[in-house]
Amino acid sequence: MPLVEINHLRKEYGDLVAVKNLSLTLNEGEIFGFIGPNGAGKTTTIKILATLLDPSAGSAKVDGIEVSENPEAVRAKIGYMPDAFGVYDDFKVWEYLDFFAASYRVPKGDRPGLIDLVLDLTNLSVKKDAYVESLSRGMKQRLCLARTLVHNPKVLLLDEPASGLDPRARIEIKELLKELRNMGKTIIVSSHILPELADFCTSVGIIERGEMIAAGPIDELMKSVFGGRVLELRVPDADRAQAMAILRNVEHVREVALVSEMIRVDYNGTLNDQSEVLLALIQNGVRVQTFAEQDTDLEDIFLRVTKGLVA
Amino acid sequence: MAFSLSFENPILTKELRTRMRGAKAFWILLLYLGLLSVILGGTYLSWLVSQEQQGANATQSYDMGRMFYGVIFAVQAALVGLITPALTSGALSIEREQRTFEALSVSPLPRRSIIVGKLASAVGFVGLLLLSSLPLVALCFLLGGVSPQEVCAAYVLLMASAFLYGATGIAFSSFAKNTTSATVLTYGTILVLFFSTLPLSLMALNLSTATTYSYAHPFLLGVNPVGAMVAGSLTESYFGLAVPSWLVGITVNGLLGTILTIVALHRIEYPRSDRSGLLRGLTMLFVGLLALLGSGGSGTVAGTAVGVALLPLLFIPLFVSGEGLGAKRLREQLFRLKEGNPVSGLLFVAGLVVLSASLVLLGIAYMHLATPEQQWHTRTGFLPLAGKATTVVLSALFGFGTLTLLLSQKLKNRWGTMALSFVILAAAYFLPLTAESYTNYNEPISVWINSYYFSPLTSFVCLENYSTRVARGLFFGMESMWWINSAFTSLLGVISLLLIKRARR
Repeated sequence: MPLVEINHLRKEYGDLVAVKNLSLTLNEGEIFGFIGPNGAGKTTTIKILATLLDPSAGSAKVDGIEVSENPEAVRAKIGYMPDAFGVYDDFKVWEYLDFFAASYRVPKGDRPGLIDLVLDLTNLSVKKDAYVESLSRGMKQRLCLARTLVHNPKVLLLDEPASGLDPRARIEIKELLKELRNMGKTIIVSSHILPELADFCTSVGIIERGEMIAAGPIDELMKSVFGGRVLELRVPDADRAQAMAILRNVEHVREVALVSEMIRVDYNGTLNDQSEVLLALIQNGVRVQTFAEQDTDLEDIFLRVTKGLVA
Repeated sequence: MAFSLSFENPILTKELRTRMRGAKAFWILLLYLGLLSVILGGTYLSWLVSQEQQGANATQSYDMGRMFYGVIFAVQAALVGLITPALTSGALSIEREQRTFEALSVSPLPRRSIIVGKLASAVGFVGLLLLSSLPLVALCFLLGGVSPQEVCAAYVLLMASAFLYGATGIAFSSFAKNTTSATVLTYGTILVLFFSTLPLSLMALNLSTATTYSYAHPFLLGVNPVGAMVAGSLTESYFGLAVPSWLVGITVNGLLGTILTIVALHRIEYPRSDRSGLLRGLTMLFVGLLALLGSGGSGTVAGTAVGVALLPLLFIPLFVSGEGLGAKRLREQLFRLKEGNPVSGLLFVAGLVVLSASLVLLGIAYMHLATPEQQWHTRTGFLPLAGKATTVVLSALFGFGTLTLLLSQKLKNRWGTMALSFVILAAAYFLPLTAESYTNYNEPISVWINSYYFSPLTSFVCLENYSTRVARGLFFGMESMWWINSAFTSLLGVISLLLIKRARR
């Protein structure tokens, strides 16, 4: 049974349609990255799953439970980290976690061990007795993440978990998410910063103006969007025009473009055929300096599929 | 142990933990006791000086004990009114402002626990402040004149007031957009609550000696915290039944506080369960209780007017407001008990009026039977006026009720409707009362006195021709006031109804 199941979800705020006809299925252990510009509907979708908003139409289920029908049961299964969150400044770190553990009805005797565990996981053990207000922003973010873990939820809903952090803190959050992935949690994580998500999501969905315009594992997405791989070559300036002309005639080459001194080739042939591209160039006397398959990143997919309708 | 109490409210733990953290709580405690001590010290010194000067003629020590007692509890009453709202009016709005509320909302913690925890910690802190004054109160025992039972009742009543004021703060905190407006609204409401109930206490209370006047006939004395100091030893007579004042105070304040707590709970709950039945039931109980107490205490037309024509109708803005009227036919909506359905709300307010009127009638009938002789208050031959009174009240209900329905339909905003309807209602009821604010009976009366025709309240009171002075200033005399007012409010109702019909077409 899928752990998260969204079917034809729709949410309206008056005349504004924030989410329209969104469907998504996630199995246990999957990490789903929600990508989209600000205002695309990521937060609304996550809030519906977090039982904070009622869908206008469609259904959203967590572990088989309809979110709007039995929010109490769903709440025990999810850990939710809001986009903009606050912490109780006048609390000590362990008190903060103890408070949430008590709210989630974790038995009193189990709490100290559990708190040590999540503090260890989030690298905050040394700050156990520090006041929350003395923590840096990155630490607060990790504390908030620790808070979502105290009741050992099956599903984590993380809305922009690394926004507003410096690169170092961002890497720490990323490491933490990888750790959680290894623990077998199912995670939905949203971001408008693409590279953040690329390396640890099992699948991503691109959302714009409330619609899921592309979804699936990153390499599959790549194939469906680009229809294959992107090859990047560097040739001397003198040979460039000739090289591009030759490349256009090679089989399976769909497009050739010049991107900042590099020739970019959109190729949808098989890996075996790929050598033909280089061969054709060399046979025609083009002095190839570099030839590499480019890691297409999410950014390329994103730019290609979105129309930039939401600024 | 075979059985253990497994009660835990994380919110309460959290609130108490942070409340007592750092120096803040202790500064408040110090200030509180310091203020009390300084005032008491001054009172004590002035007594010492007077004793030296007047010798044996000076006030006796037990009189002084009473005075100390009065001073301590008068100051504490004011402090309860000042401190409690500060503790609760930000309780929920701060969570929202600091963006901690979402995390709380997705936890399986029952909303009930959030409200109860916040309220209990605030009332508990006030309780601590009150208890800390106990050594000062003990001074009264030293001087004499005060009984322990009285002191206990006073403390309990102050706690009941703290509960009511705390619940008011929580209720506004759950509604308001930010803490500032929640605080302003809370203090505003408590100011009105405090000073509108103050006369009930002051009428019976001689503040300088903390004793009751011998002729006083206490009514709802314990509702105001200032009355707490004497409520412990007094009883109030309702239908010939002697009810302790403190019990009446606790019941009225407790019931109103409970209603407000439920309102706050309802507001933060998601998904919301439909509590319209419970809330309306409790409101009925509250209004019914007040009407019952009112009619059991006095049988004057003025009292009846407040109980029947004013009090229930003030609930119009609250219950007859909604976000539009919906597409269903009005007649079908009439019996649909549902939150924010203004049409059934109108029926509910009508029910309140009927309830109050029948209780008041019952009370007056009882008084006529039980006490044949005239007592200190004016008894009226009320029944002959009942027909006219009913006309005034029902047309007022119709007029202001449909006007509020119209506002709901047009504004489609419950808060706007509520505020506007309340202002209109208050203006119609109370502005005419300002027409005669001077007491010089030789002065010619102003023409503004004719605004009496627009107020259902004055029209009701003027059913009994009591003042020739007012009558002289009226264009159409006092006898015609009831039907002029009824015609005015009915016209208001008919026009509103026509406009609603037109808007719905």
